[in-house]
Amino acid sequence: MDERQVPSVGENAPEFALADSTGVVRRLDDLIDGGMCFVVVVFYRGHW
Amino acid sequence: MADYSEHLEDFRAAGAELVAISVDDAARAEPCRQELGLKFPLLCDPRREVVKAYGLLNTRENGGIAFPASFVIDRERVVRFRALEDVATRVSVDQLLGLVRALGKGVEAPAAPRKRGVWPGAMYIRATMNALRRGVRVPNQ
Repeated sequence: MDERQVPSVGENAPEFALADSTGVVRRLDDLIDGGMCFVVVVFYRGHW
Repeated sequence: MADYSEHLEDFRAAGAELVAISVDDAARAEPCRQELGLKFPLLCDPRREVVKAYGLLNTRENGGIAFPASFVIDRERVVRFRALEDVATRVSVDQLLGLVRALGKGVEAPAAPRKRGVWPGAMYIRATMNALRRGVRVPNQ
């Protein structure tokens, strides 16, 4: 992994719009606008 | 993931929404969500666009999967904390929760734990356990 390609503390997190496993599209901006102070985004390896 | 789900209400009480992202499509992620009874969304990035945008695509494994990583993002969409790779898997849910609570009080986030070498065999054991538990992934036809 090239850590320089990964957003660091103080940088902007790239926007995303992805369907969840039930088909609902989730946008980072919408999650932020949901009224919470923070969004915790966890990337995981997945089922393999 | 189950650990996160158990603490979902704590994250919300601390002012944080929680989502998880992998390259799994819905057909892979939804059974996993149901099996583990997860109460937060599993976002599906089979085209690897978001994983790439975050610089987390591990092309050495299985057509490309995400390196484990956690981010805390604030209302200005600024990253307030990140933990990467083997460090991310060692940041416990409790640590992450404590961090979000501290950030919520305007306290600066502590630096991520130092990266230490992991015995490479651990990866193979984990992969084998996963394969035994869930079956080996076959590339899509």
